[in-house]
Amino acid sequence: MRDLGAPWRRVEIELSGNPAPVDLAPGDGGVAAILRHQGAFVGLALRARDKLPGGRLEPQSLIDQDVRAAMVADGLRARVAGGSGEGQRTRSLSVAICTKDGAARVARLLDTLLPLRGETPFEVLVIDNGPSDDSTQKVVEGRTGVRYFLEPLVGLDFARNRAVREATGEVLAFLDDDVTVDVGWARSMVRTWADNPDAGIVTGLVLPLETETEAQILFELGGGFRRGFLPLRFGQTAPWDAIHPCGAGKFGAGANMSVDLALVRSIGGFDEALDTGRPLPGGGDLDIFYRTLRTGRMLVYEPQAAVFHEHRRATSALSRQYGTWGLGLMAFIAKIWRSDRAMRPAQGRLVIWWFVWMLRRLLARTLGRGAIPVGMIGRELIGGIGGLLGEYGRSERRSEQLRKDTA
Amino acid sequence: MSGVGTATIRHIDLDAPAGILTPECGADGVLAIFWWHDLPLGRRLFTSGELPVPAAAVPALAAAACAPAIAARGVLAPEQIPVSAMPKPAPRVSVVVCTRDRPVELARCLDSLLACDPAPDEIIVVDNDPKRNSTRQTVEAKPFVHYVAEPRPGLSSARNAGIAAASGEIVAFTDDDVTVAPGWLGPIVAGFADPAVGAVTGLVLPASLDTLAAAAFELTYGGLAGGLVPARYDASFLLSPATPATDAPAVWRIGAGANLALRRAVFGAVGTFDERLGAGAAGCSEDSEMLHRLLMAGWVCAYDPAAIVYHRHRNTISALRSQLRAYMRGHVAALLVQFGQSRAVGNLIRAFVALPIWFALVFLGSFWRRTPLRRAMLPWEVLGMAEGWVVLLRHRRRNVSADRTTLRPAKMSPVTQRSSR
Repeated sequence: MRDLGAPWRRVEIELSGNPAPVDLAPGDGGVAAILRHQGAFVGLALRARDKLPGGRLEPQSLIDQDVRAAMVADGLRARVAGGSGEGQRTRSLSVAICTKDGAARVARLLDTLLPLRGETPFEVLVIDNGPSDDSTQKVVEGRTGVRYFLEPLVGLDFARNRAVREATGEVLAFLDDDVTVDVGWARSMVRTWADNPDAGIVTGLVLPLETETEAQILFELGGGFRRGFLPLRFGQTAPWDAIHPCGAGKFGAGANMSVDLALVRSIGGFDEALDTGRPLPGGGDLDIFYRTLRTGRMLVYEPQAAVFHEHRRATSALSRQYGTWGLGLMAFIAKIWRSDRAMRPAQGRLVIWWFVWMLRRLLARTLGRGAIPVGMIGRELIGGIGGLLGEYGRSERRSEQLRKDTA
Repeated sequence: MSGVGTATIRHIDLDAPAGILTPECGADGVLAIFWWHDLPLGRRLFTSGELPVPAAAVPALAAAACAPAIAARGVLAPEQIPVSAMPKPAPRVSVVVCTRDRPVELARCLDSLLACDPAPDEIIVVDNDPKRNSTRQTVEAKPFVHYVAEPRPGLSSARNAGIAAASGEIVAFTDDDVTVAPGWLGPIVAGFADPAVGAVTGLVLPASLDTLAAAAFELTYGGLAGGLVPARYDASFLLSPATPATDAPAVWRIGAGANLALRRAVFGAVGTFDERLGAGAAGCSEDSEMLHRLLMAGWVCAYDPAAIVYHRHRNTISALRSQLRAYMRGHVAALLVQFGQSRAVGNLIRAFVALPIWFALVFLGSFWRRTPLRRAMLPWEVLGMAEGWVVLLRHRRRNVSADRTTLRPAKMSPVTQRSSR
């Protein structure tokens, strides 16, 4: 087991030109290097100190086949004939930040987001979800051109649906309050929507904002929220994928996604029984990805629309989150098992696949491979079993009760 | 659905607007092949639920599809890809096409060969065990094409007759169900500039995927030779780590007989095609077994995807069934022949243990992946495998003198030349 007690240095390296080597400071346990080439994101390299001779990171050594492929792809797409630009309709963008008592995080995000409006105009909505004070409202009022909404029903999908009702753009992007956006985020989002007029959802890259604590480093070593550095496009079918479109984890993450507003309204918005906070704090993004694909619209993943996510700092919080992911996924499956019978074969396969995958991860970890400790994988497994044992139905009743109480 | 069905093939030049990608003539999907001038750099299958792809979405997907093959060449953009130079003086090239009573396909193949630039120095058609006069008539209608009759049936016999008739330093083989790209021979000749290279293989693209049988052959069974990255294989490919001791060297990955050129000098060093293998005898794998002998003797085999032919896959399920059965029979027979040469037990393990296990896994996997066609073909593949175990016994009697020399342990030295026919 590597010592993850010391913080890892997070650096951004621009590979074009001649980047200087990175020397670790005495206290650094390793380095997390975000790799760019001519501004574009092309890779994330995680290196523990014991893998770096003399504590020095040579940038050229980080260019493996995957990084090189991302470099090639970014250079190539701009010059392939028929590329983006001429003759395409740009859709207007709204950006919603759903938060619960995260005034400082919202302020941090707005500081990175609002300057992008000079280049790409967009509307910003902050949905304050059952706040315990007015600190978020004060943060919003201190900035011009940000719309503030108080959503009393506590639950991320209540907040998301509030944004769906209030937004005026054609496309609505959701950002978690614990992210900051890259300077190219809005531009890339808008371009991706213009290039994919048949898309229902666009997701983007999620990179680590910091790699300070053991939990944050572990999470990135385990794969993080990343879905690679090449653009992806999914439809309702996929070659050779027996669990598609249920394998929702490969499509992106709710921390950085945007939806076609008219489409989401037409399919009834987000499922308010998912992403409720405890006891079912997940699954809402998987559910909207799945339902969008099932309408026949496309889901596009664009790595250049990147955000930086502040992962859970405490190991106990990360452990809890793994449980949440298992629970959210299986609650989502339990839901669509009822609501979308035509896809039951794929849904059943996903459940089998997921348990086999969990057992393989446990086995690999006990054999000394893989970053994520057995305890966390176990939490995810237990969460998943809980999700299959009626958690969705219970959550549905709780949400219904919540709506009645407030009405 | 994870099954893929039929597909429209779209050839897309990175320099020309692709337009919308949509299946034609009732096909289910689209196989997009992305080209940089004469070089294919990427391919991607779009299934029905991913279509149509709007024109503006194509560039990002084309770039992502091409990026691995460009990056694997160690460059960052297609125009940086090095073009291999033709050796000077250019060696003499003979093209050998073996055929059997398929005059229409043969005529199409010959037309593409006659349009080749650089042009072959001679074209030889070997008419294998003809039942009709149609092949001779087809050949006589074309200029510059020589006709050779080979009455003994079997693709290897026909190829060997072609070798005997050919005058070139390089003998390039293709099949009658193939058309070649206009620039086919350039990369092949360039590949032989290195004197260590004994064989050059190239890319085999599908001509069409508009029937279930053709689409399944290409997309489910992997087609004939689809790699988009050049490769060099030498004797180290036969050994660990490229090949574990428990498996046979994957010589069939090097290339296919539909697009295979050999240096004339290799025939003197390792012999000609094994007449117990190949279509009409054991079934196939006469090509890969030849490459196996080359590697054992220390020759280099080069694969260059810039040398392109288009293959017409079988169009009916019954023809696909026979083909898969023959392929498996030939494959297993070739494994036994290779064991006879190298004494590498991996060949036997594959023939008698790994393949049966593999078929069991395919059977189970066909339920998981919902590929009923694959399951329906399985009995024929298993039958072919079982025939492969015993097929050599039959052919051994037919061709005794050749067997004795080939089956002698080779000890990594050039195999004795087989008795000439």
